[in-house]
Amino acid sequence: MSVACIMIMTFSLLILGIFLMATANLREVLRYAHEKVEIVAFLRDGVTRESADSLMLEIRNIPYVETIRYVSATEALERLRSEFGARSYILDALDVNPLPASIEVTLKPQYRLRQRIMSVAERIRQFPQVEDISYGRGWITRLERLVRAVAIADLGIGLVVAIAAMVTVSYTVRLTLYARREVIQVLKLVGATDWFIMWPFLIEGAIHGLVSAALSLLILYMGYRVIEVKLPQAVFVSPHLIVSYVVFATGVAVLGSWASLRSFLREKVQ
Amino acid sequence: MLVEFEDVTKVYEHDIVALDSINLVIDKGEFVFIHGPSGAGKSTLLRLIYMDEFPTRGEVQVGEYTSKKMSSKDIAMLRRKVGVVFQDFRLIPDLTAFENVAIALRAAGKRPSEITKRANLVLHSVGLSTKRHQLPLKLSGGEQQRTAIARAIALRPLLLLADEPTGNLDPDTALSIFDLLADINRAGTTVVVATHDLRHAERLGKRVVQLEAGRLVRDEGGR
Repeated sequence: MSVACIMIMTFSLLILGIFLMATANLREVLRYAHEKVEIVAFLRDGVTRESADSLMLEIRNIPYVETIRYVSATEALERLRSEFGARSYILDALDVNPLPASIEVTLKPQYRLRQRIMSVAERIRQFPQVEDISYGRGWITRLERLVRAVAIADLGIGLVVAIAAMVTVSYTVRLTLYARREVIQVLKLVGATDWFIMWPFLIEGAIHGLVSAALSLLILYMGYRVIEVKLPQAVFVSPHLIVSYVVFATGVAVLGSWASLRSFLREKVQ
Repeated sequence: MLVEFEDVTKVYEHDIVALDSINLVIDKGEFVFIHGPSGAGKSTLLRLIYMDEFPTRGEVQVGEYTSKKMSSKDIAMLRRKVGVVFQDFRLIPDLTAFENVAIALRAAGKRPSEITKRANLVLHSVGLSTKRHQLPLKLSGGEQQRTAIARAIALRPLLLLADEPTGNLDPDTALSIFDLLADINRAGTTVVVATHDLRHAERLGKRVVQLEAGRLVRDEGGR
């Protein structure tokens, strides 16, 4: 019976583990995206280099700004030319350089959050030299929404898994209790306290939880190793999350045992 | 006074009245037979003493414990002072006689050395020294009941309850069990036996409390 219980718990926990790993990877993508994000302020035509330098001084004074770089119209065209590569001859047809000069701004890593980026970008937009600004607003917002949705799904699945695990352990313990009913009745009769009777069952529940957590983590890790071959950037769940996961599994298993024991111990000796 | 029933009524589900307005006092050191036909309320009376059941009305007092206020911890502590023996012995089949006795001592938190010493002593006192390593199924009915009695007195209880202790035994064995209970009583333990057979009460000349349909109809002898 214990084997069946551990299998059901392992499977339930594995589903939770898969979602936790998906969340960890999405968070990693989001972190990477935030790292790469920069604000580009496009300057109006006719803004002189002196004016651009004074603007850069002002931007540098904005808190959270880490680096700031001036990109002239010529440099912008060169970049475009190198991006075009073999097809850069297309640009030869241009009589004048249509690209504006710009200032590229990055924020300190700890401030690369959507709200912060947006507020700094809006501040830069207010300067008269600036015609327009650009930063990856749309896709960062979408990615953040996705991470939030998966994190909520984690909570929901965590709850379902907790209930499933508790019910499984609780039924397993109940069957064990029925099998050992005679011993329990005798123990109650001779004055054993509830704790004296309960602790072996609670330890058994905890072992079920621990073994199930270990097995599901092992399966999850094997799955991760397979994915890692195709997707080297993939990450496994963090050590911190592994500890929480094991504590969670053990906790729900102990709670399941406890629930069964409480109702069983209320029965009479007769 | 060790046990007191104060106007105790016990009504089970479907309005079955097991005990009706019982007033009863049992003093320390007494040997009391609770007599009556099947369904008279004898077992219920014992269950109210070891607090497996609680009165619907009235109050049961056992030593310092009262049925009005019992936590699960209190019940455990009470049962260390009240040994109980049943007709069907209630031994754990996969434990030896020694282990069946030791379990009561272990449940009470006694040290291993004390458990061994005390279990051997009580098994000796019930005449089972040589059979202490036998499993219950290898023991005769009388020997099984002696093991159950040894378990019930292992913690030196103030009170020993026996619910039809000889119901499954032949007359000679029954006689020896009652003699053992009388010995235990002589050593200072109060004994209360529920039985439908009065011969032993008469032979031992003890107090008899007669129940009929849940009512106390006679209380005489002994004291």
